[in-house]
Order: sequence, then structure tokens, then C-alpha cells
Amino acid sequence: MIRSIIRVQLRILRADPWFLLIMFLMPLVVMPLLKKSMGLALADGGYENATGAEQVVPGQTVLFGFFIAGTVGFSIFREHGWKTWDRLRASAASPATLLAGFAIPWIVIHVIWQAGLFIIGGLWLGLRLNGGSPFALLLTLLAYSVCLVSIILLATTSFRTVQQLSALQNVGAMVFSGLGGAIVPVEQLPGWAQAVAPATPAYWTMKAHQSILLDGAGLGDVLPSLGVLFGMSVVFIVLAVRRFRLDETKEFFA
Amino acid sequence: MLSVRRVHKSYGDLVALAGIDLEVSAGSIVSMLGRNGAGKSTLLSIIAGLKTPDSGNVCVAGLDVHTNHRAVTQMLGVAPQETGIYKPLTVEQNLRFFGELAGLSTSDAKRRAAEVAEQFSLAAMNNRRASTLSGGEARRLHTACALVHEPQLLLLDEPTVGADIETRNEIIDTVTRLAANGTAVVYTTHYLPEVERLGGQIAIVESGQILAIGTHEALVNKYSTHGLRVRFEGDLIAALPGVDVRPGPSDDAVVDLTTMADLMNRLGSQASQVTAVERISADLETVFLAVTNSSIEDES
Repeated sequence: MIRSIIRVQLRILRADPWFLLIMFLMPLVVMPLLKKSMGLALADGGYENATGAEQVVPGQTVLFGFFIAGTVGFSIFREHGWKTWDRLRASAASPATLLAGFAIPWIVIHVIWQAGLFIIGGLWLGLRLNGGSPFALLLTLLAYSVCLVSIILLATTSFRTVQQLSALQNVGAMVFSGLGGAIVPVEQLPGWAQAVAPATPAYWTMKAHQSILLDGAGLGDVLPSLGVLFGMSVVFIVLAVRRFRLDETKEFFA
Repeated sequence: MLSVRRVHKSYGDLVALAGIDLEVSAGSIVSMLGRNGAGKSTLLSIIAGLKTPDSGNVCVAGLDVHTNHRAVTQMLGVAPQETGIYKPLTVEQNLRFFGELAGLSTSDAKRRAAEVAEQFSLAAMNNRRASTLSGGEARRLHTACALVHEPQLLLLDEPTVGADIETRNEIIDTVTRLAANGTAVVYTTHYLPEVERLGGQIAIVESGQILAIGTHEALVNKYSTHGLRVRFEGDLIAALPGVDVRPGPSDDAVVDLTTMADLMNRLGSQASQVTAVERISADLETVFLAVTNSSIEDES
């Protein structure tokens, strides 16, 4: 049954892939614009040989990743707009199956989307692992995807209107990514921002990425960051499941 | 197949259902007739497990809907009032998905999707996206999605709203055929001719209660008012001593006489004061008005 729900989500995406394509192109437009200045910022932090790709590729991926993850919430709200939600509820699918059916395809898509940006970042902007572990990098991509999707699930189960979700998606992307060091390195942020940065998933994701890309870190080195990301995910998912009420009315675009 | 016992449901001060009892056996159709807000859709939502009653219980095949939701849903086919289909998916993909969601295997869902598409004249548009369907075609698909898994109990909430005559006929024919093959059907509608065509039991719902239930013939015999509806310039009660004269639904009176000739004879010289007279027919609308003492918006 969960496979059927996932298949439908993917078919709906295939019918209109433009959002995903645009969200793939947008960071690629921004990355080269900021690469040089981010190289200087990293040099200022002691990485004289950094090209800037080590900040701009993961940073823009973290920033735009929030928009991709938001699609999980939109796809749930959309069921209300299409009046198919009651049909799902009246089916034999359990609430957990429904949540997983919406979340799993977007976690996979999110990881692939991030990996695609890193690969193009390598081919086009000269991003190198510099001895860092590719496996650790892949796990960091996964941890960030899971964490973002779980935040969006919690928001979706808590919000009544799609406009509220949209606001979180836009403001959250800028604030969380900005505070987390995705736009500029954390070291360049004001003191108060550096103090609150660890509260954001972006901070731990950027910390893991920079350890791998700048310091050549292995899996063991990034485990604390991954632990925080997966820990946050568990908290968000537990809260989302507790908040999840199938019979709650949700308003899609009026 | 379906047993509804003393079901109450309120939304704040608004009483949606005030102690509904209903029994529907396998192979029978119960058409629920009532105005908007009478409680029909709330009742269907509770039977489908989409809403929880404040009190009372609903059992399908002996299983309580709310404590055995998963087992019951596989026996239920539900087509809610508003058209709910995946517009980016094709007709076939919609049908197969809802079949699989009801527990069918991929191959069974494919086979049943083809059969149901044929039943609802959707086979020719199997590969068309639902977004390209007309309103009537979308409505047919919406209803067909509820049938893919061959449910034992079918709940259809105003399935013909917005549908053209052809679509209405197809839906009604399919429903009657399913009932003949053993499916229990609960069908809500505003359209009186549909109810007459469906046959089976008719439940008249008003203010969250079933005010009357029975076959068309039984209801007409029990509730239909026989007589004449008369407009008269003057005091009709005084002009017809010994005849039962009651106020009518508008500015007229209902007289317990069967023929116009009898009315005119009894009125004698006052017959010229009659401005309009109409024989009251024994039909479902009359029954509905008699039971609910109100008017129904005839959308047909």
C-alpha cells in the first residue's frame, strides 16, 4: 500500500516537474556569483587554499533544500484541495502509512537533488573532497533531508492553511540557513547569531560539510553532527505523529 | 450488512444527528432524501469512519466501524460528495490507485480498473489525464473509484450532482446492478426521480433524524395527502360544512374531496369564488412535503 502511495506521488511529480527543475537551476545560478567572495571569507577563516566552492555549494544546497522539502507539506495540503484526503482516510492505509507514503519519496528526491548539485559543483565549480569521506558526505546529505522533511511534516500537521506553510518555507529557509552559516560562514556572523546557530539544522549540516570538504574529515569526525541532525529528526517526527489528526480540516489555496 | 444504532453527532450547539437508527441488508438500496444540512452527509461520514459519533455505534458486517476501522474500510466503497480524483493522473491510474489503496494486489487492481472503466464508459479515456475530463466524466470516475475493490457496502453521497442525464443514468444503472449482485448501498440525493428509479428503501431525513423510511409504495400509501388544493375567495371552511379543510402550503387550502365535480356541487352558488383548483397526486414530493412539512428545492 505504501508503494502505491509513493508511486502516485512520483507520478504527480512527473506530470509537473517544473518546480523541481527550477529549484535545481536556481542554486546553480547563485553559486558562481558568490564563489569568489566565499573563497575570501574562507581564507579569512584560515583556509587560504579554499576556492569558495566549499562554502557556496553546500550553503546554497542547504538554503534551497528548505524549498524542496516544503513540497512534502504542499503535497499533503494538495490532497485537501483535490478532495482526495477523505478518500485516503476512508482507505485501509494507516496514518503512519500515509505519512511515510508522503515523506519517503521526498527524502529520496531531496538526497538525489543535493547529490546532483554537489556533482555539478565538482564538475563546474571545482568542488573537491580534499580527502574527505564520500560516505560521510552522503550520510550528511541524507541526515539533512530527513531533518528538513521531518520539520515540514511537523509544520504540516500543526498548520491549518497552506499559506502558513508557505510562510514557514520562505522565512524558515532564509532565517535557518542564514543563522546556520549556509549563506556566509558562521564565523562571519555577529556574536548573537553564532550563539543561536547550533539550534538550526543548517548549522550542523554546514559543520559536517565543511569538516569533510575543508578538513578532509571521515565518518567518525562528522558523527556528532549527524547525531544531532538525526536526533532533531526523531523529535520532529515524534511531535508530528502526535500532532497528526486525520480529520483535521486543512485549507489549500482558496 | 450495516447497522446504525442511536447515533448522535453535534457541532457545538448544532445537532447534526439526533439519534439515527438504520439497518441496511446485503443487496438492498437505501436512498436518503433530505434538504441541505439535514444530516445525510454527516451520517455517511460516520458510517465511513471519517467522523466519530458523540454516541451510538455503527457496525458493518458485525464489526464496529471505529474500533475495526481497517478491516471495515476494505468492505466499504465511499464516494464523498465532492469530486475527489487525482487530476494529473490518468483515468486508469486513478482507478488502480484506489483499488490498491483498498488492499487489492497490483494485478487485481489493474483487472478491476479495466472492468470498472468499462462499466462507467470510461474505457475509451483510460489514458487521458483526469484534468482533461468533463464534469460528468470526472464525476463518473469519482464514483467508479469507490467500486474498484468490489465493496460489500457502497456509500454514495450525492453521486449525480452536476452530472448530465447520461451520467446520471449510468450511475443509477450501475448502482441497481450492484445491489442486484448483493452490494448494500446507501445513496443520498436531492433528486426525487432518482430515488424512484433506484427502488429499495427511501429514508426521509430532516434535522438529523430519519422521519420516515419505507419503500416508495409504502410511503405514498402512508403519507401522501389525497384531495384537492383549492384557492377560494371567501371562507372555504364555512362554504364546505362537514368537509375536512386544512390550510395548504401556500395561500390555499387542502380539501378532503376526491373530484372537482364533488367540490363544485357542494359549493353550489359559491363555486364561482373558486379561483384555482388542483388535484393532489400521490407522489414522492407530496410524501416528502407531508413528512417534513417543508419544501424541497427541486434541482432536477
